[in-house]
Amino acid sequence: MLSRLAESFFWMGRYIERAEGTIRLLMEMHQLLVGEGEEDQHRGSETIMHGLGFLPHTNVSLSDLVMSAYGSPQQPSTILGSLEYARTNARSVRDALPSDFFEVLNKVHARARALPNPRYPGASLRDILEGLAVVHGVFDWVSPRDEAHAFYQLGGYLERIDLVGRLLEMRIERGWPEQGPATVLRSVAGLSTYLRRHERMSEGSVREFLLLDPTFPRSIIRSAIESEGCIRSIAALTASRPEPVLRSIGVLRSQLEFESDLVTEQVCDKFISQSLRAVDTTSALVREHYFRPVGSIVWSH
Amino acid sequence: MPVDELLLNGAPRPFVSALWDSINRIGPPGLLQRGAQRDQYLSMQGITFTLSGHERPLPIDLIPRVIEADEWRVIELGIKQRVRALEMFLHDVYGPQNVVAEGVVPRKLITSSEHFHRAAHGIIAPNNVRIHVAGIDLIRDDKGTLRVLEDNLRCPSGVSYVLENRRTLAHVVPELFQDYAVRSVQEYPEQLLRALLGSAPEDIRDPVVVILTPGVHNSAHFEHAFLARRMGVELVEGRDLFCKGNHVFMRTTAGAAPVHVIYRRIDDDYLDPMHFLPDSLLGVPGLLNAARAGNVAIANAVGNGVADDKSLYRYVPDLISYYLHENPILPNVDTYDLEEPDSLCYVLDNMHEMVLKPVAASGGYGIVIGSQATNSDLARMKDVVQKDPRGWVAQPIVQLSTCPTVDDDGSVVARHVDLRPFAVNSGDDVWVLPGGLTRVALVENSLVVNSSQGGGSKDTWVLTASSTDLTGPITRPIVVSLNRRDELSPREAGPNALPDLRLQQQEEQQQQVWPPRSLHGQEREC
Repeated sequence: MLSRLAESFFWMGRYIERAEGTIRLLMEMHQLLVGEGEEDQHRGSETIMHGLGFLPHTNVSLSDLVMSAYGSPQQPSTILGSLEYARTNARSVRDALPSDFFEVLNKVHARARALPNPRYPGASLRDILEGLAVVHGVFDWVSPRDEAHAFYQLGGYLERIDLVGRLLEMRIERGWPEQGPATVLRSVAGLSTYLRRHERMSEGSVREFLLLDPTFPRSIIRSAIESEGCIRSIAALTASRPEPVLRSIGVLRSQLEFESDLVTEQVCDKFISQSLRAVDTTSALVREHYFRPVGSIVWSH
Repeated sequence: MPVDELLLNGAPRPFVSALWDSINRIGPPGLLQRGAQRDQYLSMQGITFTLSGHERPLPIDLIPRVIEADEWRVIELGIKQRVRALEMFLHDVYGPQNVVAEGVVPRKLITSSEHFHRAAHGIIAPNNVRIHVAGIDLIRDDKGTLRVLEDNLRCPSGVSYVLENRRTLAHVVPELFQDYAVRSVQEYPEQLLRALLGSAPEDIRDPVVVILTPGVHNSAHFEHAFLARRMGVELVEGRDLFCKGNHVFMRTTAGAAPVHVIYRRIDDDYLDPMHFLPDSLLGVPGLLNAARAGNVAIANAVGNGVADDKSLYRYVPDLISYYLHENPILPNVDTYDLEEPDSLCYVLDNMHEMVLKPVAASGGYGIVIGSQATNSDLARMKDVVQKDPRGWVAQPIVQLSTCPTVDDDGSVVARHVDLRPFAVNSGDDVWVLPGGLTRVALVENSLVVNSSQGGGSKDTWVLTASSTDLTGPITRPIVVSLNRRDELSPREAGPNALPDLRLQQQEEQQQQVWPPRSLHGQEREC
């Protein structure tokens, strides 16, 4: 398929996942911090701002956090920005999208744009989450399993690794020993899955779960396995070799799979930062390999 | 007094009496409500038009414009005739130029046309078609005669709205269609694709067609994406293509893929920085060389603008008799040649009854309507025209026909309309889309209908002649009779579903014919 289209599908997948993940995270973190004293609110907000890559991350109040995460259409790392860029990408590949998809994405985008700047994330953001679930569902139901689908999914899984990695780097489960672990799990809709498989909740077991449980769709290992699968599909569809693009995410996945018997706190930390690096490397390799212009001729006058 | 398309002396014409009843049954509050539904439908679908940088839904009115079968037949024949003559003219102009040698058209007219491109010599699709898509604008004057207002042979747009208007109306006011058999418009993308494939270089087994768009910020981008989707072809921008060895390729994830036909929605000037505007980022360097080598077909061809030049317009009836030896079926609007001293004098004396159009502009910009201009404007225009008679054409103001249109308060009012039918030339035949885009001036008494200046549109219905004369598919659903003996078994329900009494009865009835499917996991003996 056209490189430009593939790139748009990839980024659409990333932005939609980013919007969903950021909303969930914001809602749960707000729940955690809202009952705390001012100092703890500041501490928590700064940690989260730092983790999500927002500036500034000193002297930040809870409502600063909410506003920053909510953001603006021009800021691609924020909720509004992710939705805006997702829609812009969708609009530029409109002709290749199932018609329902664009409609539902448009609807979510319009709803988000129409919300007044929220002081409290809650009901309004939940609406957006539902809308995104519809978007995701329509795509899954209707789109053909071609390159576009593979790039879209790849974008989503890479973004997922990035989000969970950042979440774990925030160490909320350590900073808030009572409610932290449950909050972290809720941020990725993983609480009930975790409770079905484990008895106690501890800082360490929650980190291990989010890193290494292969059955939980948002765990880093699961996302890495799926990303690998997408890259292999793309290689098969484009009759090219997967190895160049596959290496860093493949290495991550195999280390998580085979070296996870001796999981200590240091090993966990190592894996988490490795995951974040792997996302950046893989994204750059995908861009270079599939989206980079081919056969450019430069004309001079 | 302008003629109305649907009404005669305030009463509905016979062929729209059922429609008029339906509209009255809905009534003004109903029309307002349906209008809100329509707006929601349009914005959900993303059917928009970019005006001054803002994306907004294209205003489409709920009341269709209706054309009877017999009248359409005449329009269709007139359009075909006109397109055929203009094709032959373009061949001649970029070839032997007999039309000039034999004095039918002055040479100066051609050479001074800003769209005459010497570079277009020798660049033609293998099947010799230059005008793949034409949009011929028609108006109806106050005597009821349909006249050609303008030819558009470069990048005529609006056909996507024709197709979407039909779907929108069927969605929002389906009852209007009752009692009517309307010619379908949905085969346009098929016809266009067929024509484009027909223009591919001859020895290619599976020619690749693409649509070349300036990008998402272009006002007609919706249409480019729409057509690409409906034809199943790639929508590309200039940066997706490159030329190598006089062949055109597109950049794909699997490397370079060849391209054989380009339906370009970019003006000539921006197509190829090597031949035209050198700083154009929208085009593809080397494209014209590839076309000249016969390796890619450009649709519509380069250089068509000389044939839809406003100064050529008044010669088109002469072209029809010169090339086809026929009388023009659709007349022009009378036009004054301002380079002729007597005509110029007459126009200057009667400026307040004239429409002045700049030759170089399009989209309705720059038009001065004498009856609506101030005295100082008229004085200024006299000056401008005298200094540059070649740059302007003058026509007497035509009272465009009107059509009932829903106003902001739900009432039905008369607004001026025009018609743009679309013709597709496949080389073997010219196919005319039934109906076309009816554009409506939304402001009372305004005669400017162009969408780029805030006009709206209407669905255009061409009625079939009779139920036995179906020259095309109709929008009435076809009823298929089911063979009762081969009835399929009912849909399976899970273990927690409540027993459906209807199903149980059906099962009992089916016992003689079909072993019934059990709801509770027990086999039944037959």
